[in-house]
Amino acid sequence: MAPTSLQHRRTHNILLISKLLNQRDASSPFTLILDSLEQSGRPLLAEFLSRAKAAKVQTIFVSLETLRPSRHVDVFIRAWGKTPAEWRKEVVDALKAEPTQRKLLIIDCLNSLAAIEAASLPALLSSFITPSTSLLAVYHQDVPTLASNTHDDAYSPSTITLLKYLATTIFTAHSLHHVLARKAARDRSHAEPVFGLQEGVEGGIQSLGANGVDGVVLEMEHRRKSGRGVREWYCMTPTSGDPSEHSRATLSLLEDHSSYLPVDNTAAADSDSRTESTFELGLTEKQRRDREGVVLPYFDAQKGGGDGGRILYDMGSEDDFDEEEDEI
Amino acid sequence: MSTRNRIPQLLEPYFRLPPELSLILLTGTLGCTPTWLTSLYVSSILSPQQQQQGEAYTVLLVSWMRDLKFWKTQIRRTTGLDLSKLASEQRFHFVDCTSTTLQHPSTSKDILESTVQQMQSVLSKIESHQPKSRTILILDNPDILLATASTTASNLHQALLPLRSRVHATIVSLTADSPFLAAAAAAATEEASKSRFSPVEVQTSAFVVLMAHAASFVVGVRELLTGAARDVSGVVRITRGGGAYEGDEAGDVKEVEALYLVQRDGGVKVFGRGQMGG
Repeated sequence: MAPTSLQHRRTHNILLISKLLNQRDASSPFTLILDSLEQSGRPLLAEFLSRAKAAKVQTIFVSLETLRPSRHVDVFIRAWGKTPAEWRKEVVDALKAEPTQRKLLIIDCLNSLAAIEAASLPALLSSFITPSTSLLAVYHQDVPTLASNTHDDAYSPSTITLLKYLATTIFTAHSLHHVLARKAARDRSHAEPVFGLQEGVEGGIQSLGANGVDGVVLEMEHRRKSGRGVREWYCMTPTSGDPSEHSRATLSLLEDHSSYLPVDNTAAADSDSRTESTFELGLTEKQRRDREGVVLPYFDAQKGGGDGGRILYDMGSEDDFDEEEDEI
Repeated sequence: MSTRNRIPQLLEPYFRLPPELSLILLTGTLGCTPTWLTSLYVSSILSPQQQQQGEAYTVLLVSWMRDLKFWKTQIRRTTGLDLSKLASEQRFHFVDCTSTTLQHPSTSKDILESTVQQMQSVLSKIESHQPKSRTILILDNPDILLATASTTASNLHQALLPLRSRVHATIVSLTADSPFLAAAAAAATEEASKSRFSPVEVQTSAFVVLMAHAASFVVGVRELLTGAARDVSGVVRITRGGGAYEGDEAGDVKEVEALYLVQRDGGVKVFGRGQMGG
């Protein structure tokens, strides 16, 4: 039972994430990437950019912390050193050009934008989203914001709560090293280790293993139009070899990661089923179905209960009927 | 001028000239200041060997915590470089911000603006005098601006970006004591709504975290958990920041954690745990 549902989930969810990354069918109008010091969202952003290039989606990059645009970016708008009105006009102009072209608007640091815009952030972001434009934005989870003391917005939700509510897809980046270390501790019933700022070490802002080069663990929450949510954990591994123009990262379910498989248990289960026999003791799916399909004789006897010990007998051709003895 | 190589062998890869537009973040605590790292960076950039190898490099040091006299003695003592001579050769520039933070206590926005303008004018001067030279901008404790409530983390971050885009690379040193980071640690666990932090705590930690998100690597020095020791000054940990993924150099930075000892003559020894410093 379990392996088939995993297989189903694997096919289904891998398809879903590649659809999201490739910007197919405008499946997510507002994608939010949440990252932290332990795992930056930049590898995922780079993956979005390179796939958008391959899918011929125009990318408009609004920079609030990036100095040098990636080579896959089509339009690069510096928001720093300008007034909000100036760069917003640039963005609107870029969005208006070529109305039929599919566009991906990227904002690399919502924290800075939230600090400038604060109250009007949701309205600002929604104004950028059109049927042909999707929005992709990065928010650093560990940048604290000042709790407001004014009476006007004392009850309004925090920026991150609003963003999570607005987003149609949320990717949370986790460090592969840390996820594996936590799993290893869990498997041994140890307390799970904490990393980075949570570690609480005086003067330590990052742990060893942060921002690893072997891959990124992505926690995805996708909200369908119907309202149903899909949650999945993925592992994104960079493709080895030369970084060619359209090199893509490999995506797999986190459970399928080589270090995440329950190695010891599967090995034990395999050896159990193969104990000291050359015969195949199990059933294949077809054999099982055929066996269930067999109709056993005298099955109807079980239906007609309550008649006592009545004998049911079908006369064969070799039987001759005796009126005195036989009764049907 | 002495030509002795004072950079510890274990840290040598991190003292190569940083790639273009990159950011290096140095963090320290009250008990362990990263001034020795800053001096090593200044000397490695301005060392005669480096200058012979090709392009000329210029250093612009902007300090909010320590004045020129401190840096002159510190760098001469630890590395043998004569900053006065380099300053007269226009290869070392210094902006003293130790007093500017308190000049206009009433108009808070002007402090950041005037400081940035001062730096811009020095950069313009360098660009006009030595158009071919590459400038490394070193900021020593700009978080003083946040501690004196002169500006906000976001404003400071935004103000630094135009400066960073004008220079070859930037090195920033900040304080990372746990009281300054508590707000960031709480934000990551979504406890922020339960506990209230003061504006200084929030702004300082927000700035440290924003810088680390942009840094190609973070060099953090901290005290030993067991307290001060005679033969160990502290722990140095180098980790990849968010900027490590930028450019084609991704993965070049190897993370390291080692112990270090600043000797009485200012020289630094770096060694692995369990090994002897001597």
